Amino acid sequence: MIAEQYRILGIPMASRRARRALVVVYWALILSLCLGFVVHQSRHGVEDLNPWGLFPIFVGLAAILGGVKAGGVVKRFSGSDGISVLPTPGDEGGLTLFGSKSIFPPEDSGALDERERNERNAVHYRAYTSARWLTLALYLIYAGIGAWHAAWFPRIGPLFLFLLTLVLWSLPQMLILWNEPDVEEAR
Amino acid sequence: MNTAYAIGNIHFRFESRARRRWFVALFYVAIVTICLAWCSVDPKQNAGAWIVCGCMILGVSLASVFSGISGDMHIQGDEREMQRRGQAYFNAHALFGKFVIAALIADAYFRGRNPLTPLLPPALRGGMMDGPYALLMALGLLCLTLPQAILLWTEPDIEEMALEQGEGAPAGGGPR
Repeated sequence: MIAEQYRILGIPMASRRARRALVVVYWALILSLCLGFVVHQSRHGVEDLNPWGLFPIFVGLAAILGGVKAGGVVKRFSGSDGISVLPTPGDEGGLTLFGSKSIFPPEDSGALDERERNERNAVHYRAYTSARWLTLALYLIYAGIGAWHAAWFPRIGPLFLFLLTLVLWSLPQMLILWNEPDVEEAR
Repeated sequence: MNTAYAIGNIHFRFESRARRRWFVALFYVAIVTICLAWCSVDPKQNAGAWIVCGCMILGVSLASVFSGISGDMHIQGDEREMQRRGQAYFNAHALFGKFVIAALIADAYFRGRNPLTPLLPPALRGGMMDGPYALLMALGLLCLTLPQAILLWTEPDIEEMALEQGEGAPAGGGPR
């Protein structure tokens, strides 16, 4: 699942230590962004928040780790077997909401092999289960804070949604980067 | 996934994908209706308390039927089942990520300065201040049910599945 040749700022990502350091830096980035979000809200209020400015932050940040697009440390997750509304070119083997058979020939453009696909699905299973507990914990903390100090409701709610989104978009990549063995060790 | 569900002597069969899709669609419509009814009544009034109680009973019943049909997602099945489950979780994760982004952006948009909010009635505008609370609740409900819903929605008809498996069987190995 790791693109062995990929480098970030000239640092090779083949060793597990480098990848774990990347995950730590990424978490530091997430926490500083959350801090910035709180500071921005307390100074300018939620009215001045540009919702469209948030979108590039989520997608761009997750793209550092890969998975969501080709060219990151983690290989791209989907492209050939993700979920789509209707059959589209290259969705052979994927799930479609309407219609079951692809009317297009299969397309092989750097798709994951079977072992990698199984690994990806297993990681997503773990990430999804963790995200479910995280959502529940955030909801309970939010309700608890609201019961204790209702004035914090408007500030904490968007922060929790912001944190949940940042974590959700990068949790599978982080799990892969943290757990995947060194490339030499794996061989 | 279970293809049959019984309440007393009444049996519901879910071999056909069309029927399962109807069930998933009705389940989410019912959940949205229950949430809206819950949020819009005053539980301190007599009728409001009855509606809230009714919503709770209906919600729990629907959730138990839903989990009964989709089965336990955490048990270890055969290889095909595990692959389908993994694929459903992968897709649920991707969809849920998009829902969360949409929820956050919608919340920031409607609570900030925008041309639409002033047009809304004051009661609805006041209710939007509790937007993150309602959104977290809705996202929690969605998160709990999304992988099962994807499995029920995408799993082929049972006959179709049996045929697909039959195609992979060795020639002459079948019953005569």
